[in-house]
Amino acid sequence: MYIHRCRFVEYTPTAINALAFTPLSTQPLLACGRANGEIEIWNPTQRWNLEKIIPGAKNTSVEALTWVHRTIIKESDSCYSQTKEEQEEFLKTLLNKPPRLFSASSNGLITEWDTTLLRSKSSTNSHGGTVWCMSTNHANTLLAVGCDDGGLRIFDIIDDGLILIKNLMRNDAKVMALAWDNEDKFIVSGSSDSNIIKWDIHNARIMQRMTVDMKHGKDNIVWSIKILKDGTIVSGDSLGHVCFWDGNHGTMLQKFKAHNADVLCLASNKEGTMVFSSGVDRKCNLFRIADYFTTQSSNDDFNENHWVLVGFRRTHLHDVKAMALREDLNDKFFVSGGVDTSILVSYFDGFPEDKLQRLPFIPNKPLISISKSKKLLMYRSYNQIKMWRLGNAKLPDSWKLEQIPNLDLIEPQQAILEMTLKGNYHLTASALSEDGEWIAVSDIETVKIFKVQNDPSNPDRICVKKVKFPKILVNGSSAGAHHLMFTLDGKKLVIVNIDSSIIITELDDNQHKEIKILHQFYEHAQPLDGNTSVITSIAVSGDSRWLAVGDLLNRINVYNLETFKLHSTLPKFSSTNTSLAFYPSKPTLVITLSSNEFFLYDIESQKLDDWSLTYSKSLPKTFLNLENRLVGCTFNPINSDAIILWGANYLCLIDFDKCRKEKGHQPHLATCTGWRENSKYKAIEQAPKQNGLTKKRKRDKTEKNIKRVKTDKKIINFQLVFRYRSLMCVDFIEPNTMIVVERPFAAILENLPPSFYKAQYGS
Amino acid sequence: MMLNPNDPLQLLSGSLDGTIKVWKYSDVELLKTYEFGIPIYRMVILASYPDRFFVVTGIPCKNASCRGKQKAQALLHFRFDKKDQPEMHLLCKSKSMCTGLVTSPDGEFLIISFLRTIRIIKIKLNQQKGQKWPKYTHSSNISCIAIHPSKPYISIGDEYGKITHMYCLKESQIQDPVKSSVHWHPHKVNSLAFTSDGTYLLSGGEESVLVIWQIETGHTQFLPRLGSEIRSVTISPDQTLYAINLLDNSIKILSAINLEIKQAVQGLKHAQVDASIYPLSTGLVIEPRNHLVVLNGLPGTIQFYNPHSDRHVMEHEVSQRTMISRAFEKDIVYPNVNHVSFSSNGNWMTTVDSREDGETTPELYLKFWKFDPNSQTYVLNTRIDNPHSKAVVSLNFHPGTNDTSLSVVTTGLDNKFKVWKINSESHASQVSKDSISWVCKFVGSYRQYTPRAAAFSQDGSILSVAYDSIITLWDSRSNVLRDVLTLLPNYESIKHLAFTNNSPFLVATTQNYLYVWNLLTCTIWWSHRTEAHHLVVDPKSTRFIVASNCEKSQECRLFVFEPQTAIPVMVHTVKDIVKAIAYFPRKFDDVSSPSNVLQSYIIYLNQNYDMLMIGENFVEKVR
Repeated sequence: MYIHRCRFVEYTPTAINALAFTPLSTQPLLACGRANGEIEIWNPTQRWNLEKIIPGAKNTSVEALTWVHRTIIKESDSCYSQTKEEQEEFLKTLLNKPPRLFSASSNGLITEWDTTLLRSKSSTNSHGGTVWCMSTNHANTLLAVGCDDGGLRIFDIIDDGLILIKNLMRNDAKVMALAWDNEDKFIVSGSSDSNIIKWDIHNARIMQRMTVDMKHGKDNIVWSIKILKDGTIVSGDSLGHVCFWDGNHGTMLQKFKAHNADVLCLASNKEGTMVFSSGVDRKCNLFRIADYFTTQSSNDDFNENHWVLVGFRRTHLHDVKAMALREDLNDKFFVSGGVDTSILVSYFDGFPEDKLQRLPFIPNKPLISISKSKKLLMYRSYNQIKMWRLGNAKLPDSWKLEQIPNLDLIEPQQAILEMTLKGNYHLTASALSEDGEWIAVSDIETVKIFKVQNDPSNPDRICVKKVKFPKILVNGSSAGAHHLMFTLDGKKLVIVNIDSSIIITELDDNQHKEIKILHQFYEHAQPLDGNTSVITSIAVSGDSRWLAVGDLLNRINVYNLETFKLHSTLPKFSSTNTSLAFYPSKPTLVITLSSNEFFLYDIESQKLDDWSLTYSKSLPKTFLNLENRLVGCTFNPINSDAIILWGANYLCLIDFDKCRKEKGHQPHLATCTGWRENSKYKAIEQAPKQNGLTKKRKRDKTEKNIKRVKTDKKIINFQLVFRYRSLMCVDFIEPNTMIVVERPFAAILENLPPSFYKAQYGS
Repeated sequence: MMLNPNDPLQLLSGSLDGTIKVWKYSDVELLKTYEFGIPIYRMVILASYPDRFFVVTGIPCKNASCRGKQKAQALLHFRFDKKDQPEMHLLCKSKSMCTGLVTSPDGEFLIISFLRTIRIIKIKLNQQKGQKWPKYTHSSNISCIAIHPSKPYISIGDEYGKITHMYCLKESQIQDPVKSSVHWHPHKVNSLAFTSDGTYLLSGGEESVLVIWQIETGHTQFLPRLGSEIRSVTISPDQTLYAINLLDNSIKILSAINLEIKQAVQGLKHAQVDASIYPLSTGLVIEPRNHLVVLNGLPGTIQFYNPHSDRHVMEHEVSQRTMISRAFEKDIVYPNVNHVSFSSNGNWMTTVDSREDGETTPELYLKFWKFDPNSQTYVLNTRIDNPHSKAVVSLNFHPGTNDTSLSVVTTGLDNKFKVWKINSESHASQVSKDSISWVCKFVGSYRQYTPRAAAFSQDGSILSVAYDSIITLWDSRSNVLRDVLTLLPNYESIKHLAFTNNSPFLVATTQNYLYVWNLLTCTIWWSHRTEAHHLVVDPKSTRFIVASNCEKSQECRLFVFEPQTAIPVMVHTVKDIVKAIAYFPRKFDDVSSPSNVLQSYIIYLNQNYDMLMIGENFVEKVR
């Protein structure tokens, strides 16, 4: 088998600026805000499934994120609820509402996001320049933001936006951090002129001022403030100090020179016994309270809390900018993120020694589209579409399996199209038709369709012509799509609208005609139990007859594209589906779930496939416990009884045929082997039919590797390959020719500015 | 070993023979002995319960498989009633070695650490078993523990050099103790000690650096270049003195104020060196000038020791090296001094040192040192790189005193022996007298046999070189082969060779035989079948000693012979394995010798590298 190993796609995620967990009163979700304005929503209960991505826009960023979920009744709500029953009813509806997500940007806007349409709901200007920090009070009724002009503004959160109610001005310095006191009476803010200020909100005046150390008379920026349960104020500043202050008197209790550089973020647990700090020197420190009494003199006055620096871990590869903590789930953990673009999940127990998890930075939604017959590969970045024609390698004359070297590229891959889209918003979806004739792209506002033409002046390049396409309206405004997909015959385009309705359009070679909308399905746009949902995956069958669509509420529907009817609704699976794929040869749908289970569904008989009924509940443990969830599924057209499942860092080949043969053999599914290089060659000798060979293509094109794999031992029907890392796309373009697009983490790190910390000893 | 907490003049010592002895150390008096019947590894007694002992003992292994380093050990609690009958309770046990046993200052807790686990036992008057502390597991192997004198935490040192403070002594923190760790040592922490007010923590390990931690701030102060690995640290109760015990068998007492060494006690250094890598290859050599015993010290050095006063006199660095600690797990290979020899007037010393680590080029140096009367030390005069292409097996000085006749003979595994002399002619005209140097004057070989040993006759006229089973006799002035003596019928190779004093006999030993040749007739005068491990000739009389070790009984028999007769003059059995032996001249003022039967003392090193001296009728342990 040949493998095109592509590393030329330069996908670069941007730095993480903010991380926020939803309040405890609602379903646990993590929002992760990035420097380009993108907000990702992760679900920690679904094995850290990346559920949604809210696209960013030009000239925005996310500086702070807050979830708001109101659980109490305000005075202003009294118009809805007079009696006690009405109040209870009203409270119930409040609790059932999904949490609202607010973000603050460097352009001064505070934006509320619609987490199903994945676009902004409303924006409010802070009128104070960049918003550096944002926090709601404990009742989730007020939102405080700290601005560049030194203003601390307090907004009332109403149903459809924010109303400015107070402006606590102090013209001296920027407000870099703020925290609400436990009774919501005070706000403690940290500013860029070395001061920590305690504000009385009701009277809008300064109650206390605490000053942190200054070095050489230069101002020390207080980057982060936390208030613990007992009222202790914790501050992190740009000298690397973590200070603990008495909340009542404003005196410093303890100071730790715990970091070598700026402390950018702090996190504390609910009881206020643990504080984590991190920052530019990449260290993550843990402080804990040690009961501190003299064993000899049991003097009661001297029984105060004493903080101890437990230890640190340096796991991030660049500045850590944000941390968030959650302890009500099975595991107590905190997440941290920063310039190195990936989120790390660390568990409390055994910190700093125990293991941690690095979440993949590649989104679930495909960024790559492939035209198999034309060997074209299209990649969508934030505002660009790039297309390459794949290269060719010189085939070796004879197979010497022991020493399969790299194959020489006789023809390197060729960039044939680079198209920068106008528009303020980042792209949300793109598709390339199988014949390579059509390109569809979409942002949050519009869908654009292009017809590919040969460039007469330059035969190596192609050019595109825009095709007229009717505007899609959602709630009265122009809307784009979340997903786009061409059918394989290239005659239809499936558009998943931002309100989760599905539009089928017909493509016509006649370029003067406007594209027609054939049908629109509304099943996924219907709310289920009052919740609307986002479509996560779509798939079109090889004969262009079937369309399968799955959403976050675990609904999976199969539509017939010839009759435009809903064909069947699949049974609900226990966890979110991450991808859908049709067998190329038969009407069977493969559904992968975030729990790493997968199911095969026979569309014509409308039930699970025999194999799936027998084995899907007894998959090998090793496979189910893989650190990264399944992302996709692909098929070698030559071997109809095997599939290749892949996650961010692994490939897994599953041979169904063998499973059937070995039916009586009970533990055979539990065999899960690593695809190790040494055993590989042996395996190739044993099974010449399934020999593998990879050709690896790097950006510099001359270098090549090889290899690969595929053991044919009798019992093994799950084979894992960890050779490829950070996979963006895995697909077959021909029988026995696979394409693997990867983006190594090291390549992303190379492009980052140098980090502060350098290892000095023993390395 | 510990002081009795109730009586500061009493010292308690526990030992592996199962006894705890109470000493009054001011008068060197044994007050009381408690019999336990089990080997005692560690012990603790508390001020409030003077009749109770907490003792760590080894559990005898039932099967042979557990004979490794990790011995199972248990903590027992003994209580002696009025009649000194012990009453025993088992407190806890573990499958691994106990690494530390401490009590909290108020006597409430007893903390014991094993290889990876720590147990805390609360001591109450009537109830010893109310133990609710869980077994804490440490992530790496624990090497030592200490308890803070006033705050509720213990400090744990581990094999990776980390010091962890664990706040586990307060009831509220039993389940999830707060830990805090500091890390400076790259290698194992050997010892931890808190000052009595709890502000400083001292730690020491393999790096030969004493680290003083200011606990509150984490500030560290270092006392580097202590010379050898630190084994233990203690602090005097008034915090004015720190005492450190080093691996080179010495104790240094430091002032806590300026960290200056106030006093140092130094023992024989070789005892702690790994004898398999750095063997005691020099043996015991008597320095002729002051009659000091010279032997291997730390790798690369030789030490001068005065057995009469039991003092370490001088350390001489044969090959200079930078004192560094290893960077990774692999040990640094140091050069080893193979041979030392002195000229009879003590003006010259020659040494052979080598270094072979299997990676870099092997180094082999022959060095000639001249005594400098001003500094009373030896100054390097000539260094010859690779005097032989293979290892040097022997080094002997010509017994003459005249500088011109002075010569040194070396034999090597490259089948050659070389005679070295002072180069007096070549540069004598131009260069001043100081710049004399040593050059090779003669290279000899006999067929293709490998020389094993060499010896000069007492008057220096004959040089004899022993090949495998052949002894060749050479004229030492003209370097002409004079005679060849062949051992018959035995073909064992010769190990030791010596001329006896004042008599024309040559003694040679092989693995199993002892031969005495009469040089006047060139025939074997007598021979004896005995295992001879060492052969020493008395410089003052005609006698010689053959030492024969017996591994089984851990004994050594010393035969004293007169060369004329095969019947030993006397046989002395010592209950040690003799590692090296030498005649040691009597002190000049020591004229109390009742007879002249033994002209000199005999000193030897036993298997524990204790130095012992044998006189006529006493054995004096010197150490």
